[in-house]
Parts: sequence; C-alpha cells; structure tokens
Amino acid sequence: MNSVQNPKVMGAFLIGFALVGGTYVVTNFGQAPAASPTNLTAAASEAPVRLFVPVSDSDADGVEDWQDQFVKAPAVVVSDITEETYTPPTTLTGQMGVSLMEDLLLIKGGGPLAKTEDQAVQNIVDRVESSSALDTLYDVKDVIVVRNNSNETVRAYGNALASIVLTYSDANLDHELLLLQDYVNQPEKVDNSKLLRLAEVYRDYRDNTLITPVPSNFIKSHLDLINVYHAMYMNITAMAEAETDPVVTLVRLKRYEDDTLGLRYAIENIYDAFSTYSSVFAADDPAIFFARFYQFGP
Amino acid sequence: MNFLFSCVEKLSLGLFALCFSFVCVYTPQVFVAEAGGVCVTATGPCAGELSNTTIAGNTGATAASAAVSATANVSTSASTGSTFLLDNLLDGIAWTLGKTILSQMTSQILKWVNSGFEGSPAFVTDMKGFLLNVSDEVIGTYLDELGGPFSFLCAPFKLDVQVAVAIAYETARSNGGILPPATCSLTGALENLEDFLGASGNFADNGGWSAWLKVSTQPETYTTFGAGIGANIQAQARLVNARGEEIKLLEFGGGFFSNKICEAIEGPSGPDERCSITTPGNVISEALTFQTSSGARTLIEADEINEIIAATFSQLTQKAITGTLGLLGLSPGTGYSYEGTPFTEELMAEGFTKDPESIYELIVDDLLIETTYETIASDYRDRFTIELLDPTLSAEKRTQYQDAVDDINTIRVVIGGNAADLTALRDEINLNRNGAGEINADPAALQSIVERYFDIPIHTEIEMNSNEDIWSNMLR
Repeated sequence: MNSVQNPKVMGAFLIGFALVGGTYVVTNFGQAPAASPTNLTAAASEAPVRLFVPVSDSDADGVEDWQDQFVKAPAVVVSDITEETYTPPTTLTGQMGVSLMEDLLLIKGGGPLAKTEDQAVQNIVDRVESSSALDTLYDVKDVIVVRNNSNETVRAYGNALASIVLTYSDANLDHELLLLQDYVNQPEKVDNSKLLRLAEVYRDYRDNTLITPVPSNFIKSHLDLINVYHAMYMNITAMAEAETDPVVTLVRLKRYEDDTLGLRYAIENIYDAFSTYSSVFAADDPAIFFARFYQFGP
Repeated sequence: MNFLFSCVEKLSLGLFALCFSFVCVYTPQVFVAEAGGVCVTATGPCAGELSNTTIAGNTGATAASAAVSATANVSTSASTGSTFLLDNLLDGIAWTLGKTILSQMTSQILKWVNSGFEGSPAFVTDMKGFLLNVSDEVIGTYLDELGGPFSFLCAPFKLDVQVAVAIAYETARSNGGILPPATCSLTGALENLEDFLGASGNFADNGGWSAWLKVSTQPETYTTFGAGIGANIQAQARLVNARGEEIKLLEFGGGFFSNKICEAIEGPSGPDERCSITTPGNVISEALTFQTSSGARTLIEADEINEIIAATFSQLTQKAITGTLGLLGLSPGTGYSYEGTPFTEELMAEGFTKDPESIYELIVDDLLIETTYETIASDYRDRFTIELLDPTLSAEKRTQYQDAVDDINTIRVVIGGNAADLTALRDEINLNRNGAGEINADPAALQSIVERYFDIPIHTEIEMNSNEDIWSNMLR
C-alpha cells in the first residue's frame, strides 16, 4: 500500500497518462468525425434526363467534329489524284505504298508461284530499313591518331572534346522529342527549323571531333563518340522529315532509344578513359564536363 | 540533498518523457543531398573522379561546370535514357506518324492506280478471267470429292447433290463464280420432311421416332435438301478461300486504320469537299476495281489491303533494331550486356576490311618501337650492371642502379611479349597476302587480328624516350 502512495510511482503514472492522452489528442485533433449515414432508406433515384447533344461540323466537310479528332492525319483528297502525268513517288513513304500494292497484285496474279504476303512484307521492310536505318560507321582511318599519350596530349585532347560540346551546343533548343512532338502535332503552326538546327549541332559535334587528333589510347572511345554523334545527327535529320517522309522518321525512331543510350555510354566511356589521367586536369578545364556528366548526368 | 535528489529524479523523468514523445511524433525524412558536387556514394561514379580537386573546388570553374544540364545538347539527348520522355512522348509521336504515313501511302497508291498502274502486271486487266480459272479448278476438285468414297453425302442422294452443286455453280459462274446464297433454308427442308411424313399416313411405317430423330437432328446428312445446303456452303467456303477472300478481323490499334477521304463535289455555293471516314483498303480497293475490267467485281478486297499494310506497319514498328543498327553494343566495360555483335567489333571489322593495310602499318610501326626500346633498355641494363660491379659505388647510387636494373628487366619482359605478339600478327597478315601482295584475309580473321592488336600493351615513343632520359641522367 505504501508503494501505491509513493509519489514517484504516482508521478510516473500521471506522466504516462498525460503522454498517452496527449498523443491521442494530437493524433485525432482536427479530423472531422466521419459522418454517420443517416436515412439509409433504399430509394431508386430518378435517372437523369438524357439530353440531346448537338453535333457540329465546323469545317463543313461532312465529317462531324467529334469524328474529326480521331482522324488526325491529313485527309486523302480523291479529286487531287487524277493527274494527267504521273510522277512516281520520290519519298520512301510513297515508294513503300506503291511497292506494297505491286507486290499484292503480283501475289494475286502469280498464284502459288508468287511470293507470299509475308515475304512481300518482309522485303519491303528490309528495303526501307536498309535505306534509312543503316549508317556508315566511322573507323580508325577516318580519324587522326597520334602516338603521343603523354599527360599534356591527353589533357589537350580532353579539353578539345569538351570544348566542341560546349562551343557548338545551342541552349535555346529543347529536347528533340519535344521538338518532334510539336512538329507532328501542329505541322501547320510549327516548322521543322528547330529540329534542323539541332541536327546541325550534332553534325558540328561529329565533324569537329573527327578532326581532333586522338591519342592512340583513346581510339575506341573516340570512335564510339563520333559514331554516336553521327547516329544522333541522322536521327534528328529524319525527325525533321516527319511531314514529308514519315516512314523515315518512324524507322529512325526505332533505333533512337538505343542511340541515346549509346550516347550516354559513349560519354561515360570517355570519362572512364580520362579517369586514369585525373591528375593532369585542372579545376577550370573544359574536360571537367565529362566528370560532371558522369556525376550529375542522366 | 533531498532537493538535489528530487531535481535529478525529475530531470531524468522529463528526459525519458521527451525521448518517448520524440519517438512517437518523429517522422523519418529522406535525406536529399544538395546538388553541388558532393558524391552520392564513396564507391559510385565519384570514386574515380576525373580530378579530385575539381569537384571540391569548382566554384570558379568555367562554363564546364554548368554545361551538363543547361547547355549541352548531348546531355538533354542522353537524358532520354531516363525513359520519362520515351514513356510519355514516343507513343503519341509514333501514333501520329503512323496516321501520316497511312495518308501519304494511300494518296501515292491512288495516284499510281489511277495512272493505269504504270507498267504494272498485265493480268490486272483481266482479273475476272483469272479468278474464274481459279474457281473452276476448285469447284471441279470439290465435285470429285463429293462423289468419292469418303464423301460425307449419303449414297441415295449423293449424285443428286453433286448435280445440284454443279448446276448452282454453272448458274453462278456468270457472276464470277460466286454461288448465290442458299434459297432453301432448314425450315424449307423440314417442310419437305412433313410432306414425307404425311405421304403414307402412317408414321410408324416410315421409321418411327427413331428415323424422325435422325432426320431432324442431322438434316445435312439424312435429307437431300440439308445435304445440298451443306455442300453449297462448303463449296462457297472453298471458293472464297481459293481467292484469298476469307474475312479476317483487322486488329491494328483499334481505329488506327480509319482515314478521312475527301472528294470534290459541287456545293450550293461552288466547289466543295465531302469527306467520309473509311479505311485505306476501301478507297484503294474501289480505285483498283474501277481501273480494271472486272467491273463491279472487287479486284482485291479492302481487308486484304488493310491487312498487308498492317503487317508492314507491324514489322516497321517492331522493336527489333539493336546492335549495328542501334548503338547499344557500344563497348564493353559499361555493365551493359548485348547479345549481338558488339558495336566496336562491327566498327573494326568494317574499317579494316575496307583498308587492312592500315592495321598492318600500325603493327609494323609498333614493332619498330618495341625493337628500338629493347635495344635501348638492354644497353642501359648492361651499363647499370657494369656500374654495380664498382666496389667504390656509394650505397645510394648502388640502390638507384639496382632499382633501375629491376625496372629495366620488368620492361624488357613486356617488350619481349609485345614484340612476339606484334611479330605474330604481322606474319599472320603477310600469310594472307595474295600474289599481288594485297591482303586477302576474310573479315572475321581481320577482326580477330584487330582485336588482338588492341589488347597488346604497346609502348609509345614518348615513353621510351622518357625512360632513356631518366637512365641517362642517373649514369651521369
């Protein structure tokens, strides 16, 4: 009984209650009590009145506006296709269409002796991809190799590579996918000039890197970088043709994701190659770009 | 003393309460490091920092410090690898591109069709005759099968059905071989059955319920009309299949194939355009039919056209390009694995396949450097060894010379290996020379040579001259 009356025990109990109570209050304070459902009588509410929504055809072309939004591509105008003199298509898109139909007719006429539809499709796809998705690869004989791998040479080389990126970049350009999206969605309002400018940026990267003397220890990473620049140049150039020759754009988009990853790896590999020469670079060297790309890049 | 004890007691209790309260109300927060040059991990990308002094002291760095995220287009492009842009943009772009391709392809095909096919196969001008030939062959085979021992027709009316199908086909042949829809339905057949049942007036005399059950459940087998209908249906199916006109559901992106086709009309206030939504297959099919002699007959079904275009799209959009078409096989050492031929191998294979003399020249040049280096190193090793024989040599010099001899021996081992490897590669190339002295090795062999060459830790001329200067100074 004495222990019950012990003020220390009583104090501990009081503090404990206070803490628990305080925590409870803090936890629930401010929360509105859940409204208890009242009048739970089941009642079928009256269905809302269905109203007629008027349809419009603002361009008066016979296709209602709500349908128009599902057909975003330019309309095929039949009246325009009766030309007196036929000009074979010059774009890959047009050539692909005509080739497909020629093959389809030949399949019909040739019977069992003709190639199958699958073969026809594969031939067309192979032809399109080989003509638009394969790039020339730059190799050792295309670059200037120096035998000198001294610290000074490596430093100069690293700074030259980074300076090319810093000099020829254009900060006013968005990401190429954003530019492409704007272009394909609003071709009548947005032209492809920004995409073409961005392609020039990569072309400049490529051309200036090609003429930069490379120490022999850096040949592989150097060529990787050049080929990635070239691939990006080709990709973005193809994006700029989205309205004139969309098949080329589509085919290049297939490899675009790989190429952007390749770009990242190429720069990281350059960083790896320089990392063994870290002591030769100064804090204000442009080559620090590669380190910062590795550290803060994607 | 009691007061002091009481104070300590209260402080302890208060501290306990504080700790308890803190534990109750504390919510852990994820630590976010400020962007400014602090390495995230000790072993991550910063471990081998390009320059340790750089990151720590980049306050005054030049444009390089801001280049990564702000100005360098390579950075924004490479950021695509983060997949955010890919996930959010590429699908929409590809969809729009696909629609544009469809429109342009349709237009070009229509131009080509309306131009009279521009030298296309002549058979399209007599497609009707072509199709009839196909149909004749098919129906003949089928009629043979109907009369054969394994026919599904019951013997009593086998011949009747054969004749009926043949007559029906002949009647329909004027319409391109398309059989007319069956005019005698199952109901009609059962009416005939009732006649049969009522003729004798005695249900039991004609087989009873058992016969009735067979006839009623399998009319295609036990009644003339049922068999005829069945045969005609099968014949129709065969003819349809023979012309490749079977109906296939086109499932390509749900509505992707809808196109807006417009034609010029004369409106109340002048020329106008009237458009409708249809598929490319429809509009092309109509144009094809109009341009050929098949008249109202359809040359190629719209679905067939849609189907082949869809198959092409499917192939074109399939994610299959990697490696030499993409650049993912970039190079080893990135932690990236690639199943195909690495990009660098392709690169080297193509380059030296085109100009194999260039790799030969590199090998010969390097062999010369290694040989020269070996001569210099041997010379200095001998000179250091002679100096070490001098009993008056100071201990410090003796240590230096001994270290130099050890270094030279190590270098000579590498030189020996390099020289042997380079000589082997040179000889291998020479073995592949033809009578005219041209290198005639296959690309795979050249690629192997190039790979082995890049693996050799060759010495450079500068390295050689630098060591020569060091050894020369030591001996002064």
